[in-house]
Amino acid sequence: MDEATCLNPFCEIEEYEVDKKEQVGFIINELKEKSLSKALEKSKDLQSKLAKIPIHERLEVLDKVGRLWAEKLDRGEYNQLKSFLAKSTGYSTQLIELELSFVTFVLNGENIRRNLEYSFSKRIEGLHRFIEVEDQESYRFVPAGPVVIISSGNSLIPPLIPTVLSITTGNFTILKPSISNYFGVVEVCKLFKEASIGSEIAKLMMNALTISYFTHDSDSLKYILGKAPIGVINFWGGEPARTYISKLVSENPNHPRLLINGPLTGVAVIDKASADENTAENLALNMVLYDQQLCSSPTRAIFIGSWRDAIKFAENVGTALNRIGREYPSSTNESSIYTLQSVRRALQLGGSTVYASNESENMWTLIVSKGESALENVVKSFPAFNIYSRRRFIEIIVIEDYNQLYRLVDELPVNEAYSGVDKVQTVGLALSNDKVEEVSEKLTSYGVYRIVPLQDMFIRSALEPYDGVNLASFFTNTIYLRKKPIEW
Amino acid sequence: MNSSEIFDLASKSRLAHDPYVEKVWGLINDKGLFNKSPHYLRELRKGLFRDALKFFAGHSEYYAQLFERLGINPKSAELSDLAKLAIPSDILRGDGHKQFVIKDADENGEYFMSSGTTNKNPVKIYRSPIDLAVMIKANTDLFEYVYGDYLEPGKGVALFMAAPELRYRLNFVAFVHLALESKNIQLIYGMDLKDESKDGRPWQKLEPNKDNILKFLKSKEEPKLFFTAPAGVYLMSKQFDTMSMTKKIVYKIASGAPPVALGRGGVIVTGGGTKGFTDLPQYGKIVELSRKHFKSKDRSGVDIPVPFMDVLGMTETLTALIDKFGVMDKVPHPLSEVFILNPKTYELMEEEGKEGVVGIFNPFVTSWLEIFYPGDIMSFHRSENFYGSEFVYVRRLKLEEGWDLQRACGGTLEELMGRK
Repeated sequence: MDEATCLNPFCEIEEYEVDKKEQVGFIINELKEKSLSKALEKSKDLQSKLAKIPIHERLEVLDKVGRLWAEKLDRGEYNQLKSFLAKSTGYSTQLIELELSFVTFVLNGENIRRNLEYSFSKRIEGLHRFIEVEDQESYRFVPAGPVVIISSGNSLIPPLIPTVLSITTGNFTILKPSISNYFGVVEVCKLFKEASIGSEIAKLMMNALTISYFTHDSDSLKYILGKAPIGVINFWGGEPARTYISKLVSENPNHPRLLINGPLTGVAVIDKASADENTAENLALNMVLYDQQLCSSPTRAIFIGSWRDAIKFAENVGTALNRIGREYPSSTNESSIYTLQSVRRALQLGGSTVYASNESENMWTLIVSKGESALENVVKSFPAFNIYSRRRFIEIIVIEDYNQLYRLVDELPVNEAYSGVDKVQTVGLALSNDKVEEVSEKLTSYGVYRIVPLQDMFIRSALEPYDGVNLASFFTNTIYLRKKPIEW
Repeated sequence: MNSSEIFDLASKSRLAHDPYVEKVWGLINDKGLFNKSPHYLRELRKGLFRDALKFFAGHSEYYAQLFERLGINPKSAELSDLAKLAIPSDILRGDGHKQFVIKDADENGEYFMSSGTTNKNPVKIYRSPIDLAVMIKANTDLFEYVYGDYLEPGKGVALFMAAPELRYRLNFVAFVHLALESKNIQLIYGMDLKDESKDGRPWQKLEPNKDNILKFLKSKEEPKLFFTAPAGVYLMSKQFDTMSMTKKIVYKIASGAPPVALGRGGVIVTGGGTKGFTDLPQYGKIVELSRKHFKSKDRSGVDIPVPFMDVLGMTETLTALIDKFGVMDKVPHPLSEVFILNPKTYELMEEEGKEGVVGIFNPFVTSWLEIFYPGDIMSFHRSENFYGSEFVYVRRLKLEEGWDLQRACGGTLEELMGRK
């Protein structure tokens, strides 16, 4: 077993001990309860030191780490990592390249500053000192941690986002990535070590970070969630782990705050006036990137207009998928092909119009259905064709009236074809200008978290909350200070 | 229903005088089909395909719309269009078949179900009396072609290692039962169905009926036809193989076996796949072992290695594909179009020897357009026979259930997620 298949902890705990386990071809050295407990003993002191460091200095460290990443990426030092991640995540090398380039943005000091500004109502100085908000009344945002982040998705960015925000807000942070993204996450965090040469602040931030993999039946994981003096637990994922983790956390005598970011998906909304080739390209791009596995990826499209216009639009999307999909080759196994081909036929038999590609590295499918989703019935016959298995596959539901749009957004989470998805996270709009405001306003009543232009559904603005929550706020407690009595 | 009742009901069907049904029935009764050239038969099937499309478009709005949507014109359709029309058998599970049955199909037919060994919800197919009549005729003719001889009415005895109740559930049992009945050949069932009320697969609730097996073994009738799943003949042979000498003597006195003398024209016919037995040896090994304990003679009485025939018959196909070990690989009925789909594109693949997903079109089925692919991988090779090719079963498609950890925004603990 070489080093590339050994998941070792990344931490600054002196003489830490591990439990050695083996899983899916990997050796897992997970931190023992004893070592975690030792680290947690020091966490309060560490957090208190971090919380005193002016926030702009912490942001400078992140900026430096981001620059180091960009330099190394440019020099080709992560080429091996790229191939490894492409293999472990199942994404194309081209997509991994894109993913690695996003790391610089996640670590960009200015981006993080903007996120903090909007999380703390433009009072980010409160992260290192009391700031007066009214006459002799002040706020101070202190770390609510230690924070535990369980972020097991297979790409690199999702675990990095909460981790960076947690450390920046001064928290001692324990991160459990997934097996497939483990080496990428550790590679990024190693740069704190490089940045700490000559920087005490970077060193402190690095000391505040512990990364380890834990198997689901691990005693160490049970300890962290159910017993350890933890302040915040942030879990990214769905069932059955969500319930398992919630139960453990509810037993923790320290009553940590629990934030669950469940599985979500995206819906694209297009009207006749906007259904040009450009919009078709945009939809295709969002379908191809991450093979629709992002919580923002469009997995359903709603077309407001005539059937004829929808067909024309679908044909344009198909043309765009042919071109863009080839740039990000994907692989599909025999079993998935059987299911996909069978589903296509079942939908065709049921009256839907199907456009599809049989190119082995770009098997896209567009279903055009009238008024209602035809997918649910078919997924009943092919349960393996769930949202996790559908790649480059979208159903375009054609409606003639805007009012039908809200029902289709509303019913998605209870639709069997979307089993496992909590909600619609992102609605990507390609609508005529006069409709955007009206539709956005109405969508606020249907539980969606993001309403953005269709063209960049996959991109997060620096100031966006995460699934309805400002993570930085969640990772902190607001201390209120009043120096005078209230007059009453 | 017995075979006479089936033929009677079929003749009274409201579809009996439809020109297409009449044409099909005429062809099914033409044994000379097995002497035609592959080219002749292929052209015949092409014509039948077009006629079938016209027939179904005329009898069902659903089919008319479907052909239009797929851009298939019944007048000019080619056999390559079969690839577009083939449906996955998975959608025939539960009540999935209902949607495809035309309204004019007679209602007093029978339902057959898959054994449930390959998936949870069995495939359930409705067969009208005309379908059943075709099933008896076509399968008997195909069986005799592969068997290499004519089954003389009233002669011989058959043992089927199945329970009589399965006659009304599994179409392989039904076709053997009805074919033998129509030939007036005695059929003995070698198994009893126990505790049918409980959930489970029918093949797992079967127990040997020793008296019936003994009756078959002791029978002096010729030929003896032994129908069984491969596991049945294998386990029986293995039992003979490991018997102590004393036990062998006792058994021989009681039953006359081992070896089991199948007599002149005796044959072992396997079917139904592995039926949940995962540790069975390769078919060739089963034949090799069985030939030590089962004996057979040709028409003239000369000892020959016992012939083995294997029937590939899914619930959703009215007629089977049958092979004879060491003589010919699987052949379909002359009117059945068996085609291979590219396992990636699911388009027609005509390269000899290449493995693909098998699809079947049975133009003689008149209650629904029977074009489907069951999820089996097969290949074909050229042959001198009437069909021009023979088919080799390779394996069942491996279908993964559940999901892999893939979601980028956060999967879950992957050990809890990575179910397959």
